[in-house]
Amino acid sequence: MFTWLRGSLSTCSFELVRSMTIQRITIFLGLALFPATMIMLVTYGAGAGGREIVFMETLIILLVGLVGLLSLLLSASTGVYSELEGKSWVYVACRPSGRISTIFGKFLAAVILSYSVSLLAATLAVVAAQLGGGLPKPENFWLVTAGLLLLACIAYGAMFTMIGTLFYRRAMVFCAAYIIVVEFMLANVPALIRSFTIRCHLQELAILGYGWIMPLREEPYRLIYGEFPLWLNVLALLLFIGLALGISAFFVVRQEFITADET
Amino acid sequence: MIELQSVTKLYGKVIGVNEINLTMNEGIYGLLGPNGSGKTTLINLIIGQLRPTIGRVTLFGRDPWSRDYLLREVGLCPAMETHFPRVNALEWVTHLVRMHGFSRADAQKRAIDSLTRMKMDHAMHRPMRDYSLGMRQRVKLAQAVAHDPRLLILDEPFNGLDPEARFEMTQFLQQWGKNGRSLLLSSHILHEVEAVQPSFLLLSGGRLLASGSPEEVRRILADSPNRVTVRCSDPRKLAGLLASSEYVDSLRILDSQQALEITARSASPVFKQLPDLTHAAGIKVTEIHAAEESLKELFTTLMKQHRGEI
Repeated sequence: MFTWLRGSLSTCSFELVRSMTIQRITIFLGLALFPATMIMLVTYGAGAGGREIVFMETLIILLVGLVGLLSLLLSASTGVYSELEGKSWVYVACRPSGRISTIFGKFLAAVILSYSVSLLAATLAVVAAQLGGGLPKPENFWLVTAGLLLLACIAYGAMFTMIGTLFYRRAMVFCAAYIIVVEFMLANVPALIRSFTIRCHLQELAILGYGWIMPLREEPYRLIYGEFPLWLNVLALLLFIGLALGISAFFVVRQEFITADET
Repeated sequence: MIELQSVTKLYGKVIGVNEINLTMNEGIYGLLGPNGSGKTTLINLIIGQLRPTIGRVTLFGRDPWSRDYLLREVGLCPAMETHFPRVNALEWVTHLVRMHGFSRADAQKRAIDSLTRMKMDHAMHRPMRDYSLGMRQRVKLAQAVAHDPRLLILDEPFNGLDPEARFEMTQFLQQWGKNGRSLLLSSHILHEVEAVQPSFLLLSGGRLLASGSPEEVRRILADSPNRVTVRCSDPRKLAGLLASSEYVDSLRILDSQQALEITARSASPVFKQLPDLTHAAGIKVTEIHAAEESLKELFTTLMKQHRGEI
């Protein structure tokens, strides 16, 4: 009954073991150090102007978010294709629920890896910011960031898994296009459509979590920075995650994955 | 166990398998065909990795495409080489066994047992990138049998094996059959499959050309056009005697080898005539060799028969 669950957990642990190569650890450490390095450069290079708290917090969130997205792009988008390319797809696909176990397990592994990297990046960045002048409530800031990162990694991980399953031959390209078109452009359109992006809800949660007071509450700004309650934002993200994983699972069991060697 | 009803699989405009009707009860089967004949496509249809374009496939009485729990009873050893540069055999096999729903401890125990059975226990902690082709083949077989399947499907399992490993593989497969398990063995080399004594399925150009026991296949071969080399004391005299035979198409005297090469329309009647003819003429025969008794020749013949050319 729970074959797919056991298979997913097995795939997840197998992927985590496989990913512990010097090359990958170096890449992930480089990514984790990037925000802290930038904060240090800004703090010591830009003088007093660079030490403003709001600017510092925003910079940390942006850089750590970028780290999370990049590590997810590397790990979550290529789930199916890496198996096809490595000619190992047939070994996992010939197990009961093997296809679903593979994509769910790889999704879990990608989330764990990306969350670990981005959390480490956030921690180092907060430490760097503290050394350079300090945040008013660093513990609080770190906790909210950790929570938001977890939600972001799961949501974007699910989205990348779906894109990687639907367009497995050009997964990274489509994921990058999705980030640019949907999460950067569409999320900034002052209309209801932006609520169909992940970023919209993460942004709303960030405003609530960090306790930011938005300077203007007039109509144009309200369209960009809405007033969704906390539960609605979380529900929207959970729906995104469920829908993306559901579509991935549906597609992966319906699709014939053929490699040239098999014909 | 397996049934295919008018199954055709198309890859776009390319035909993978064409109009195959087949019933396989539990037992040992050898799927024979030249490279590109559709063997792997047929296997993928049987295990539900491909959906037939036309027709119906059943495995253990059910559609394998929509019921992947049937795969619990199937062990597959694919022909394809996989690339896991870092992981060792124990990690890989344990992972694949766990995907059948076993607990971690149980899966690991099964993996160790299976790798030991394949004589890979000494190397199962080493990364797979360090393995020879033969070792990787053994690991592939270990992952296929570790969960104790009812049906074992092997796609070109002898590839890359040295003679000793081939012998061991043959012994293992023979034992598998003796234990009452089913086996589908795909290969393009007749004598490798023959040693396991299966029922044959002959596939070429995506079509099932013939099926039957080894004796039936040999009979097909004997009744087909064939080239026979007879080494004897007087090949010229034998050529004269055979020239009038209605079953002989051409004769060639190989003086240097003291032999006669006979191209027969049907080999079987020639084989029957030879003892009487040579005995009456006092010709001493030292060797009779059906030179082209190979799978390729057999398939060519069967394909010609299929097209109605002969």
